[in-house]
Amino acid sequence: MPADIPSPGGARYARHAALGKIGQRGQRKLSESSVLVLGCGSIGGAQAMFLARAGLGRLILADRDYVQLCNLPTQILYDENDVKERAPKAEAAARRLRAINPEIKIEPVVADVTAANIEELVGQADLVMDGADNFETRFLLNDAAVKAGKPWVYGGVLGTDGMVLAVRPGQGPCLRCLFDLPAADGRLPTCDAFGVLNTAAAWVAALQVTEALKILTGAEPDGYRLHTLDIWRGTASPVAAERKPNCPCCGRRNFEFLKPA
Amino acid sequence: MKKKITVRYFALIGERRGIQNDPYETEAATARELLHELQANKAIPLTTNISKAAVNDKFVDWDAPIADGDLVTLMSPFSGG
Repeated sequence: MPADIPSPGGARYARHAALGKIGQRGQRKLSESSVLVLGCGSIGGAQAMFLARAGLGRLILADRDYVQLCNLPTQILYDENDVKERAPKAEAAARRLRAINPEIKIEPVVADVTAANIEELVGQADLVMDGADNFETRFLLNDAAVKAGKPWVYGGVLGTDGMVLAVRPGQGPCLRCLFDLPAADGRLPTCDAFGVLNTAAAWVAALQVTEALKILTGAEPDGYRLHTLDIWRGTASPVAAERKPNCPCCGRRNFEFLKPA
Repeated sequence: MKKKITVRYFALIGERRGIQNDPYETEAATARELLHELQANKAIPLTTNISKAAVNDKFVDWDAPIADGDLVTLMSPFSGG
């Protein structure tokens, strides 16, 4: 383990604190915040790295998988030793992030996130980052976060493209206001079949973390939009979205994914 | 009279990837009719069950009207992470 580098007077975060949009006040809020990173793959790993470096007070890292060789091109927290050790991603990520920033609390959770444990996990955090790789988990997260009134940030990637939506329950649309498609899981293309470019995943993660930092530092929402990104062409387009009064989740508050099948 | 619109695909649709804008002429009155027309004419694999439409960068219901000059975005959500 590297020796701790003291950061008297907040020297570590001086560049972020110098930003007008964050400042000393925002940096203090970040240091008092807890974030759950749900899934530590290509986008979740990058989110966790940005958040740890930004000085979040507490990071909870949840992932059930082990590090594999095919993860290394896109999942920036891991190395060959993790592959050789068959290290759980949550634990390998925690080890790496503690070496980057030992001033924050990092708690790995090696577990499958299901209806049985998601509310307890979401309850421990002020905000949740979506690093999942399937819609089943995302709709589960949407239900748990909206029920608890906790903000969360959707991010999805495919090939060289991505999407990001910050969900502020009670204010803007939730995921099901936009995509009421639970039946679509398994019918949509996946990264396993179509691949993913590491820079596309990092771009999605960077935008998700930016949205999270805005929420955690108390910035007012500047509209509710799904961001669509195409890194191959270098273009991004926001699409304005509104709450649906009859949304099964945030409208009627029928949290069907949290109920046992 | 046919309306001149732009269809923006944002999804993996056949060989199409990423954000693409295609000029298109249509008699479709609604987003749903446009989707059906594109399914027939361009063999796009999107359906109302797995995709969403936006008109002029705002999400709409499938029964929303289409007007001359509109930008109609068709997308399906991404699950990768």
